[in-house]
Amino acid sequence: MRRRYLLGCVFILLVAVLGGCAHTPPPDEALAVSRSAISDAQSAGAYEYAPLELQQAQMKLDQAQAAMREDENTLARRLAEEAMADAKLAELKARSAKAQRAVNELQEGIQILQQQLEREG
Amino acid sequence: MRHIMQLKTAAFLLLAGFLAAGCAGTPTPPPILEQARNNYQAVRNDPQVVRYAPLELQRAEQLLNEAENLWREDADEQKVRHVAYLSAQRAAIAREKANLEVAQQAVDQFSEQRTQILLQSRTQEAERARQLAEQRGRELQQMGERTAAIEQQATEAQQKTAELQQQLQQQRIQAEQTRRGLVVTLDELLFDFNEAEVKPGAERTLAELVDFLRANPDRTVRVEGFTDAVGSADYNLDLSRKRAQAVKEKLTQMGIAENRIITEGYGESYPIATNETTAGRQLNRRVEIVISTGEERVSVR
Repeated sequence: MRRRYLLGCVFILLVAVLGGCAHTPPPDEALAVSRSAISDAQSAGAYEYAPLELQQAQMKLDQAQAAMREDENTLARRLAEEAMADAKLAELKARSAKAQRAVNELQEGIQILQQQLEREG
Repeated sequence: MRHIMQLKTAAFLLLAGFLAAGCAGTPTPPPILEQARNNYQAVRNDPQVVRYAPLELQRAEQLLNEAENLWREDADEQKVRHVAYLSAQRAAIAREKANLEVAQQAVDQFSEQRTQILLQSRTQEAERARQLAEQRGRELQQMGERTAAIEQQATEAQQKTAELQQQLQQQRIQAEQTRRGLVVTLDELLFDFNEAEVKPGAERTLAELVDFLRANPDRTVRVEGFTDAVGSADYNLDLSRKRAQAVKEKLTQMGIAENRIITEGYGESYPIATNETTAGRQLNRRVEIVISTGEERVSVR
């Protein structure tokens, strides 16, 4: 009777551990995606145009790696996902700022050309 | 009575306690959820985001709904905050994506405009160059016309001389073009031997010369007398002068102004033939009338 009770406990424990593992595996993939997103943001010029977002993304990626080392996989996954969103925002912010700068430069150039044309015409 | 009052007060306090507890039962949502709501509202009402970032907008909405559900179901606040954060960031991403799209379209549009302006500028430049070339062309043409006019004047002058020669020839006056002008030679038959009087037969030739001089009033004449080598040189010189003078008088009588005529006697100088033969001597006895080419006087021999 007592032995059976013990067996039941072990089984429940096993299920709990396995279930726990199955529920929060280490977020390797999420971390890889975040790393790649940060790299994209850097290429897009985020250092210059979105330094805060980029910094935040890198910070969260570091925290996610630390959390994974502590086996806090759920926290690690969340941090990785947030880092990915931050990096993506940094990338788009940099790209749209660069495009806007191109627009401004073009507009300025057109204005100069038009003035030149009026003077010569 | 006093007990009843105490009971009422107790009931009131109890009710107030319940109400306060009820308020505490629906606690304020975490700030990040508020921010996610605000972010989503803002981008959902932005037509550019709706148009250019529909997928991002949809994802932000899904995440917001998920966060709201978790919040309502009293889930772990860490989880609520996490999902709300993802929604807020997704909404910001949607906005930036729309900004990027709008800016890229503006780049395309302005690039096209710039090309058009450059093209217009080139056209204007080409037009200026064409006008300049046209002007140069006109200048060259004018210069050419001027040259042609000068050439024509020269040709006309030559033609006029040729015409005069022809005219004189037609009038049966022996005329010869020389460096000094047209030379009309009156032979000795016009004069009697040793006489300075012009014979009436010579008048016809002189009349033709007068006609010509009337038609060309700018011309002057130089009448030069010559003799053969028979007799003394002094006598011949004098005779030649008298003959030239006689021709001048005849011409003035016929209406030619005196100042248009110069006379000169050369005696037996400048023979045009030999004085050894009768025929030669005949040729040497002569009066030459040199007609000026233009207004200038005939130069001295």
